Amino acid sequence: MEQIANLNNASLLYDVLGKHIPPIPILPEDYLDFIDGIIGSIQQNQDYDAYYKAIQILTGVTPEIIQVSTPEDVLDLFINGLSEWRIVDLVGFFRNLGYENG
Amino acid sequence: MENVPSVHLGDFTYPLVKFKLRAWLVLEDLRFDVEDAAKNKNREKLIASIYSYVSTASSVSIEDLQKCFWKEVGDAYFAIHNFNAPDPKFPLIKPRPKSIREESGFDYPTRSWYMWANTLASKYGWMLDYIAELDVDEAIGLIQEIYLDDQLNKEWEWSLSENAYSYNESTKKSDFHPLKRPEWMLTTHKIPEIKKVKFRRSDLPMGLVLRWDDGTNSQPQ
Repeated sequence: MEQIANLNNASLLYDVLGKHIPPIPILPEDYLDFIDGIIGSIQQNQDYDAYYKAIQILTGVTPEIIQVSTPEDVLDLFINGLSEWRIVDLVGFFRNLGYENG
Repeated sequence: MENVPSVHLGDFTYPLVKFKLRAWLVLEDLRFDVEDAAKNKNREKLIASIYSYVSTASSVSIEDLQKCFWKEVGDAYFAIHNFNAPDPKFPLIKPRPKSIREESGFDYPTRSWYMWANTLASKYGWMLDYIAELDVDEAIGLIQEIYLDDQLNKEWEWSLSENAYSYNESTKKSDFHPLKRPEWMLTTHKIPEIKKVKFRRSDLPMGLVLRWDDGTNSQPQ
């Protein structure tokens, strides 16, 4: 099930990831570190609710499908989703607007 | 062929348009809604306001914008705003750190147009249709001159009023209290350019010494 990466869903994602978003990277090669930072923060705070909500926004998959998937597959969905949704640009956009989350 | 700046929304590309006064004021009201929603962390209002802004400027329906990738809409929002930003030379529109948009009892969301139209029509006797089609920078320049004339007239009248003077017991003279000017008319001080000063390398304080790949401590030329 494909989810529409429109502005409304983008803002939902930005809100859900809230406090887990690290500072914006300057170099393009830091993008993976940026996503890694989000995952690290979720793990550290054990905020799995945000993790699953983010996956649902990114992919549209239901909690039932997530439950029967392997952790590696779910993580892949999360990482690929953030990458496809241009998470760094997304965070930069909302911060440029002065909209803070978390 | 001239390269026209444009925005990409869905399957179509829309050339950016320099809006005339009335349309620009409508967009400015929507932009204020965006800023207000962002400041108050009102997500739903923020998204609705951005969609309204881009839809108004591009004539693409909100329903169609909702099918677009978020970045296209976001980029379009900033591109339209930047393309239509007025010339920042006018002191009247320069942002000021302490400026607060005050809401009066007689204020309402689309009042900007009526306020500007009233000011220009009162001064020049122009028709509303003509004012609506004015170039934004030209309108701002004229509005600033109208406000300036108005202020100088008020200052002249104030200087003739006895309220502008108070008797000073110690000097046995009257002190003049000038009429307060609006913030945009206050003198601006230019920050003087910092001159480059040369001094010997040996006079530099010793700090962290960076070594480059070739083992030297100076950057390769």
